[in-house]
Amino acid sequence: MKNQEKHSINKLDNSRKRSKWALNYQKQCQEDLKKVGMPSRNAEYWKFASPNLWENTGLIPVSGKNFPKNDTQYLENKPEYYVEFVDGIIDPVTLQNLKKKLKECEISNFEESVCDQFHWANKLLGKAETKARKSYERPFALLNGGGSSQGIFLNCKESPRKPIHIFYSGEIEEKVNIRHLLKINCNAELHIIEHFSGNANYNVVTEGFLDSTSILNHNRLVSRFLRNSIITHFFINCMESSVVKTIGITLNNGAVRNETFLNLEGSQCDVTLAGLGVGRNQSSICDNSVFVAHLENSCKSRQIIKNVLTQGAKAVFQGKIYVDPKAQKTDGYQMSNGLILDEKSNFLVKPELEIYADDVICSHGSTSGSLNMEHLFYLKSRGISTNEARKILVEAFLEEVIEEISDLEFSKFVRKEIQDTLI
Amino acid sequence: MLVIKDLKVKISEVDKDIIQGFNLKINSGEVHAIMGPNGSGKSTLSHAICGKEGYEITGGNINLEGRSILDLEPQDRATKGIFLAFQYPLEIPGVGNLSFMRTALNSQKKARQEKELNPAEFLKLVKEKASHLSVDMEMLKRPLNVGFSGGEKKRNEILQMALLEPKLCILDETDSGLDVDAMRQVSQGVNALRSPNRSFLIITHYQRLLNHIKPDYVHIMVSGRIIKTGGPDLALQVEEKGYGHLIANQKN
Repeated sequence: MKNQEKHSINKLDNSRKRSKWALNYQKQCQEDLKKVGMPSRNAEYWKFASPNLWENTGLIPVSGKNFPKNDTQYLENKPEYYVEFVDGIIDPVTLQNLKKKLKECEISNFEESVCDQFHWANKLLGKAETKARKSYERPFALLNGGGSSQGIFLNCKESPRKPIHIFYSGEIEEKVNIRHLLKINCNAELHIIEHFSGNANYNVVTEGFLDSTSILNHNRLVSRFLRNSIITHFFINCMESSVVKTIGITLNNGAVRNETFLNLEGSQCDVTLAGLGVGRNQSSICDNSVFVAHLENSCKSRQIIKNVLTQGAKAVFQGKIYVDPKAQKTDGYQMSNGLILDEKSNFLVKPELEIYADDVICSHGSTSGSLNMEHLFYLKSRGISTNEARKILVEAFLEEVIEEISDLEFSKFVRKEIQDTLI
Repeated sequence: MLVIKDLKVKISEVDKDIIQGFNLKINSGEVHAIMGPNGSGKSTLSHAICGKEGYEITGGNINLEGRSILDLEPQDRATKGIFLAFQYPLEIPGVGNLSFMRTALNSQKKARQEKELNPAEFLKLVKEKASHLSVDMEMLKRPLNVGFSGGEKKRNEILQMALLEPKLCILDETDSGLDVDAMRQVSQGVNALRSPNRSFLIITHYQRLLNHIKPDYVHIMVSGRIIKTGGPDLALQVEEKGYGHLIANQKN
């Protein structure tokens, strides 16, 4: 984006006055943060990966040259629906184009939404976050709520034909707060694909509200080109028979924490959370903290986490399934697998089940181990080199997560990115 | 083709030679069968020839076409023309059967500085080879050996053999877990690959496989070495009298 355009947005931001509901929310976040404070290493959900990793604005060294300036430059074809954040600021041209093309959704940027007294978001902003804070405090989300000025608010009334891509890129090394709000109406299906790259330290909060029988498909790619840390919050509230599938792909070498809260308020919801990470050095920390709250009967949840770790990389998975006394016939599943390729790397897992109903199926499991030597020999005995055989087995290990991606073009792209990351 | 001279092999975890002074010569085009009771070292021999990690050569040599292969990695031995059809082909979820076979074939071609096959060329080749073994596209598209029946796994091994066109094929108890029809089908696949330039080493417990794949020589292996060599009749003798009879004769 040209500097002039960027400047003009900032000017516009400062010239408009936020509505009371938005100001109240912002103030509440700031006050709550004062009470709660930033997390310490002793906090239960931060004991495996220090919160300092996400407070530090310093650059994490990353090897490699000639990084593309943004993700759209390394995609073969630009997607039909996309919006771009450059240095944490929404590119107005991409937003305008998206608004023009996407008739099925009402879209506005953060600032114009919060300045509109009667905006649909006034009843929703912060509501999923408040519910998520009941499980445990989310100080970084409060930090975001108290300081964000960028993001998109999207009200999905009918199903767009194709996924909406959100690109994050840029060169500045600042902290960036981005806030998204999604509302998906009855029977609508929305597919969001996020691509993170660039130099910023991202703090992103996405709140999603699914009406009954709606579907949210969400993919997040933290690309190998992201040079700093990122913390994402994905707080989703599900009404009856809604479906969520969220898949995170983490390929960078910095600190990544994904806090996911799926609140199943309606019966017969079906949610899937899958995540894969490839950690290649000691700066690489991939932390997935997941809380699935089954509050009504007959809901199904699945969590699948896969991390490949080498050169002192670390991955953390803290996954909890909570089953309310009312949530009979719950079907909950959680599985995490770590593939540890050297002695310096760590896979730290804390699976939890908290069940208050008596007619449920809930299972969890976790494995960690190295490459299967018998498999390696089988491939080598066919003439495949050691390096290639190892790559094939690592990719095979991750395949279970990739298979969950419904958009074929994106899954093909992810496979290629993983292959390039493993070189 | 293959000359094994005074070979001694131990498994890393066990402080004892499993193969103890083993000698064998296989000329081009010949089919040799090795029979022996459990624990005689047959599978250890096949793994040692293929260079599996954990099998330590403590003496002797293995030459393929006049050159020692002991310092070669398994993949280099494969490229030189050695193929092992596994007793228990491994299931590897997440690895597509077809893409695995193409990677294997092209890895060998690349190492031999031959032209690699593009996906279309490979597909044409694999379809042609697969049709002889009743391997259909559905099987080729599945993950490698995952959910395959015993017969399907063994047919898949023979299909790989047909694609890679090795010089020396080692069949490690290929008959295990096969019903009569599956054994006939696998044997037909093997027989179709017999040629003056290709040798076979068939490891088996039972004579029945040798009814389908006629060997030139039958060797009886006991305690890590060959105690008797003969023609196909020797296998019939084993079937009739068991190994104990031969071992007793050897001691006398």
